Amino acid sequence: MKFGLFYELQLPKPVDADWWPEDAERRVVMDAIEQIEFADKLGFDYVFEVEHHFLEEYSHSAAPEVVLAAASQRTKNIRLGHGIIQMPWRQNHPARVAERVATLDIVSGGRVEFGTGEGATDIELGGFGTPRVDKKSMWEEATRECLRMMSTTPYPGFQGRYLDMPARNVIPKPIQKPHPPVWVAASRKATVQVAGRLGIASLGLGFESAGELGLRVADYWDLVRDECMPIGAAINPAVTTVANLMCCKTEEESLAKGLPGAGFFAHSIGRVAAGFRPGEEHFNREFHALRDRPQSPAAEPEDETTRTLIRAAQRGGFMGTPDFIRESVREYEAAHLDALIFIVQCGDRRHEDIMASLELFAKEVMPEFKERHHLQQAWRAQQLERVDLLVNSSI
Amino acid sequence: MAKLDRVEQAEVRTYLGRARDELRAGDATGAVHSCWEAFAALAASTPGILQKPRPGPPGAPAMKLVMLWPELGANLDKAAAERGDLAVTYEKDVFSLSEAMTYYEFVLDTALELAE
Repeated sequence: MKFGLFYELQLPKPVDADWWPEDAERRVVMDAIEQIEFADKLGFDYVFEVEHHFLEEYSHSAAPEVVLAAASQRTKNIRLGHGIIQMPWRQNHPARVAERVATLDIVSGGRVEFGTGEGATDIELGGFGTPRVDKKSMWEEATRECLRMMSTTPYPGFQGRYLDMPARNVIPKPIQKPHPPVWVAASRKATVQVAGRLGIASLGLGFESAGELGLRVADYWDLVRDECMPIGAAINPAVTTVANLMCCKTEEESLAKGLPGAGFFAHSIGRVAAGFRPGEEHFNREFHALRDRPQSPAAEPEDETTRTLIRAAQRGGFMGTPDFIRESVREYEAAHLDALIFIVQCGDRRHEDIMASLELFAKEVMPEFKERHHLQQAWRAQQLERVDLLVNSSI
Repeated sequence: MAKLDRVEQAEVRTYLGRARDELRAGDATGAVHSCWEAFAALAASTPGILQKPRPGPPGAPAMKLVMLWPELGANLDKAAAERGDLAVTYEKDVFSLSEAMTYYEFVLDTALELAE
């Protein structure tokens, strides 16, 4: 099992003010970089940072390549993941993505994980004029061509449904050949299956249980073996998921320090998904007004997206003592999950609490799983025995 | 046994087999149309399927199947489907592989869940 961190750069407005303090954005970015630097020293394997636009309070991470580049200069081993880049060309032209990813790969010494996705909210898609009905096909075309730009010299050009580009040598080229490992954000089961079919890693955002993931992992590897039509020049087979981490010495402390942030995370993601008036709303004040009311439904909701939001607000398996968390990780390890990616910065969670949680987890939980990771690697090698495709994976 | 071979309804299996072959050949648009045919055949062979609660993950409640149809350009009128009137409207002429894969996996998983 490998471990990573996942950053949205959440920035709730102060409850008693209508706007953020002047240095709030600087502080959340610099705190995150310090956490990443510390995580690297502690032995975490990955950091993934989202790309979101206009989603105030929920995510102030609009230019992850800049933050990851800064982190690259303060870290040695941790792999730097886009979690994800919004690939439809109106958000990011694929040539610009290829240039930025390659440059980040160079300045980081070949540590980039190329996470891709579509963008989800109407606020974002509408801001760039991307039609919702086309976002998946735009993602696919842009990702495929972006990978060709990184791996061919010169890029021969392409006339597609969305991209029309003449032959150009897209430079610089990434250090990792033929291109960095490719991922896709997968909040739904079908996207995990698409990932398997296209030979890319699934960055799971569905807060799935170990039992659910066990089934998805089996299905995913069947597809990699039997139906894979690689979107790039090398495949990156892996199934991972995100979860919210707060590791403390006592259960009470972990819940007190962990749950409010998780609750804000879920509330704000629900609000940005539903749509909001830019610059005029106050998610954190809403959250504080709602948090004392009974919120949890007796049963989980039908809709997969709503269910994800409910789960995101809850304790899950990674908010507790090292013993509690260790048992949860063992369940996911038994399901052959490749990596757990932890949300650590969310809501108004304190930087000091995040650092302490990272340290306790790394010292008391992580070691046994790192020691056993060779078993997962052997299992992966078995899955790939019949696969005659180039593999580029950091798992 | 491959997942497709576990589908009980012969007509559904045939349409899905065609969709699988179209996917393998890179004919995403053809595959989406075949997936629709498979779904329509599944609905025709199983009265009430659209309103049938589909099992959720462990611990989660079920959900009406009609609400789960992927919204990627092969549009199902969900209100009409709730009344048993099943029809598709294609919002675009060309589909991508990832869109076709999404429809294929949805219909295949639905057929398999019914078989179980």
